[in-house]
Amino acid sequence: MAGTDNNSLDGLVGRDYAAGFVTDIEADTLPPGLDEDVVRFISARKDEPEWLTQWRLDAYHGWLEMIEPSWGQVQFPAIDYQSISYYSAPSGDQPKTLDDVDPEILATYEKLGIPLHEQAALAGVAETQQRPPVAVDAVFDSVSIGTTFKETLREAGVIFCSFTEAVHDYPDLVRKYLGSVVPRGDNFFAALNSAVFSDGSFVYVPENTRCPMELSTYFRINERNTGQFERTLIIAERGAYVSYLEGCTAPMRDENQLHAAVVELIALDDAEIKYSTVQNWYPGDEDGRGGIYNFVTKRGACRGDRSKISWTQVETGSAITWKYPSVVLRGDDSVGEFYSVALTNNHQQADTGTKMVHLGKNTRSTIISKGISAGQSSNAYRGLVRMNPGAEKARNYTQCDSLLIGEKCAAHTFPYIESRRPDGIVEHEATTSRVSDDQLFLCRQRGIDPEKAVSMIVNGFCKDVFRELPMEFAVEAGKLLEVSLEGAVG
Amino acid sequence: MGLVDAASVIETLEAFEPRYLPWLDRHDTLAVLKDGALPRPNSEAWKYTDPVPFFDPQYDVSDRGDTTPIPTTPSHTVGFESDTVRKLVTTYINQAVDQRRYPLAAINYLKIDCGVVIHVQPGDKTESIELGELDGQFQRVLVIVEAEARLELIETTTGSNRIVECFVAPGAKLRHRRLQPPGTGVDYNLVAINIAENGSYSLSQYSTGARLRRNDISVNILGNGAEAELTGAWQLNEALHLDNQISVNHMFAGGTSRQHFRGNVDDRAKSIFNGRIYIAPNAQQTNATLTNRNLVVSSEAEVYTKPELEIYANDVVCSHGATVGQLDTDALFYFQSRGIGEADARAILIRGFLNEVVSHADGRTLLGIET
Amino acid sequence: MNLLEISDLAVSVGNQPILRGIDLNVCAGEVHAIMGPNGSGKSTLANVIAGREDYQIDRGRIALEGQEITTLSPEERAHRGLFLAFQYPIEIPGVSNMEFLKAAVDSHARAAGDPEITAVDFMQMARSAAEQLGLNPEFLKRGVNEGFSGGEKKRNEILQMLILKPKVSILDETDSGLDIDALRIVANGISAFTNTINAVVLVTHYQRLLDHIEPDFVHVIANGSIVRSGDHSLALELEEKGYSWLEND
Repeated sequence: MAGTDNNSLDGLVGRDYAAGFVTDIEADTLPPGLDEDVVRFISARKDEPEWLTQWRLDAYHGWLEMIEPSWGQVQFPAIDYQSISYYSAPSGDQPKTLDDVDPEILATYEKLGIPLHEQAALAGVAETQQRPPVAVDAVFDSVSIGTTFKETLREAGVIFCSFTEAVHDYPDLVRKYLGSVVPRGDNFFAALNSAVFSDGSFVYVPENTRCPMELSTYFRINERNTGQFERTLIIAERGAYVSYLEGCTAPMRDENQLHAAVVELIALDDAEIKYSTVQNWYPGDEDGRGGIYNFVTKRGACRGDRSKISWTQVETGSAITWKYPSVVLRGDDSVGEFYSVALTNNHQQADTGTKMVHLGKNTRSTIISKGISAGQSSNAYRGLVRMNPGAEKARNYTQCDSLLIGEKCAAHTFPYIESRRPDGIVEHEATTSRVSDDQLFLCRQRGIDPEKAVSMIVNGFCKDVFRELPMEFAVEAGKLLEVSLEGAVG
Repeated sequence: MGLVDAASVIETLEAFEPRYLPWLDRHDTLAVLKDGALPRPNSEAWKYTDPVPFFDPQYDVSDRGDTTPIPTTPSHTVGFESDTVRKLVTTYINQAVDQRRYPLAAINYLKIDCGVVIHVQPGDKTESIELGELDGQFQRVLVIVEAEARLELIETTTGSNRIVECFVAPGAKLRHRRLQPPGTGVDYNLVAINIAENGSYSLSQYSTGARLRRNDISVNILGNGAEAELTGAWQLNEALHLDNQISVNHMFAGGTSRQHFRGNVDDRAKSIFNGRIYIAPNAQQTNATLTNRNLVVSSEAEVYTKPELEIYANDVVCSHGATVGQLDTDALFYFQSRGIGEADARAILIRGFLNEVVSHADGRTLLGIET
Repeated sequence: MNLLEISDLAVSVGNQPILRGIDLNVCAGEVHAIMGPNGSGKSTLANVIAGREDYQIDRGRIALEGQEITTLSPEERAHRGLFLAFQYPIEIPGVSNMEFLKAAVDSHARAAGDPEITAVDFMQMARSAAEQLGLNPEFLKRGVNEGFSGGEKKRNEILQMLILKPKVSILDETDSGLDIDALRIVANGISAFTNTINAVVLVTHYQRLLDHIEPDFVHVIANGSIVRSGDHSLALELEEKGYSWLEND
């Protein structure tokens, strides 16, 4: 928009990060540094069986030999892995039930709008509306502080607990599946996670069971100088169905903090896993100081025939997001989906996308990616679609759109397509556009203020992804976009 | 992928004593190669093609076709040795080539053993020039089309390390038709083009493969109203290999580029396409599109494609699309129901697929799709 | 009373003058037509009144109900009752017509300090306006102008006018791209909308819309100035003789 600058799109700065507060509690935090003793300490602290300690140590030794990758379209100063603390937990004994949890921590989740009471509904929706309940596992720094609705779920045969509990209560399941989708040496950050992961969520849905409610994990980084390395493992047996939601926030701090999680999903015959993320880690301030480095490995294995794994992500936070939720389509007729909205503002950087690896016959995948870059941020889609020789009649459709707001942002697209099938079909389309002056003028002429107009246009741009989110999250995601774009127009 | 032994490549180049054009300043180029321009392990540019044979110090092109004499007219000059072109060479050579990005072009410069300068005077509407094989291993072609001039360049090349640098001056037009018959060796090509304000460059490239064939294309849009139109088609069978790496760099506002490439890949052939649209900060009002479509007709063929966008300006219209697929079975059935046998029907459909980007008879002949 | 009052308005783009001193008074209950050849500045005038920022106002004033509006933002002008039906309505992908209209209606209500209309009342209002223009209610669920035909886009503009009930409506080439039937429907919609407290300014190249909506005044712009004003007969005269005779005057 030419003319008066105060309404110019370029003025896109400033945002209100509502989750940026610190909880003042006593914590047991390991001093910074990483060596074999740290790995052993974490394992001992969790009272782990010998095989798991060894598994961690093997991962650690593998990691020592690995080189940090540099191919991402992201830039950041070298991370000093010896300056990070690899374990932090609220002081005292691990709480047995939610009643034992430090009230300060409960207040934190209250403030974030995460219901840790079983009668409560999920945040971000009007209290008057009746919503189906959501079971929550709350992870605070390195440990899970409680899981709700455990009993209700247990009646249905569904296991939903912290990873630490799962190691003790369901060791066979953990041993069978841990690292089976993301091997401990898969990549630099996955190896690091495998060595030092502290907690996370575990889900097991037995045969022919539809999980009776949405499951949700809420990750919160609180301590200074800590990294968060959680591990999530979800197993859906034959004919099972589960929908899982993940949310994340962290306090506003000037220094960067590392979050290197691993998520593994396993879907057997006819099973379906729907995994949704609303990622709102602290993005740093408007000058690019601070914020979370979100370097996460997420992968699902469609092992069974006719299985389905669907990733939906809304990424608005983190200083740097570097992740590719992927699906390995091994079962015949299995389906992989990836729906993504990634919004970067100010100095945020995102390099995100997916990998769809087609191995089985008639496997199908869909990728819908919507990248929005504003301010001086950089937003890249990177994806791989691979049709292996056995993937008879496999199909992929990819739509990948970028929306640019302001003159200083950058948008990139790097889609890798590899086909070794004469009967496979891969279709990829990408477009780049901006919020045009004409669109804004039309809205304003109809009386809509520029900020509302931009947020409406951006929400419209993201519609294909939002409709994949569970309803509660879709509302939250829309609001989050609005907040993240605050200041987008003068 | 093999690993390029950078130390030995540099050692050989340092020991190399140029006999052709000894007066070229080779010092900076050597420095670029020493400074890490040679492919490293896991190099993105060599993800699907083994770089080692290309950088082999003993690099030899064994299957080059017959060399053809080059026509001479007043508007262009053959050979680099004459004094009249020495000035053109020193002015233009490497001006369109980013040697850091294209290390094989740097090696070409160091080891250049034959070359042609085609210089079209301002306003000259030369009809067309044909350029065939040259008698050398490391070939360099400079095409300079001065302001408001026109040139049609028809080029045939099978095997060598050949760098074609084109300079399209303000308001000039260069139409470039490029034919690449099958080869059995290791074949490197770079076409690097600088387009000035209101200049226009169009490429029609018809390719088959070689044992290893690499086509790099680099287009720099350097002025308002500059236009590039790149179309190409390839037909690969047996174990032929073709790796197309294209980068269209919009360095200035108000440029337009359109790319449309199609390939048909049969037998055990391997087709690689990497098309990049780069839009520099401030290159506003750019309009850029890229399409790559591939047919895979054999279970052992491999197709790799990556259409990339790298955008640093917001007032742009960009799109790209890529598909990998096979012949439409409904269409095949339709043909068969009209009594056309499957083999014929396939041939007709493949022809139709490629025909959309093959607009010249010689291209159709080369690709075996003439009607 | 004067709803819209423009005096000595001069406007340029870059250093290129487009309007060279326009005077125009529009009173409640009136229909004005502004005609002129292509490039005469009539679309510029419409956009400048609505507050488009691509133009430089060199001098003059624009007042709505006696209040100067030249320094107001487009949305503030809209809130005060100014409406522009665009010549080329833009697409807003993914944003439904309904959502867009509701946002517009709500913002008007907020600016006026009125309570927001309920979703049910709004739906009813939108449906009946759609029916009036011969549009299927499904139309309201589609993205704003997304994939609309030229005629649908123009009808959508009029739909928005019927719902927002502006005091002054400037309709920029609303008749272009409409077939005869659509033209009649749109014209009937506009005619039904006009009353004694609002006013309509039709910006048009041709006189065919004026067969359906009889203007009280016709103004002819050429080279950035109003060169002739009169009644409907002026439009008919233009239809017969074209525009060139004006420039030769």
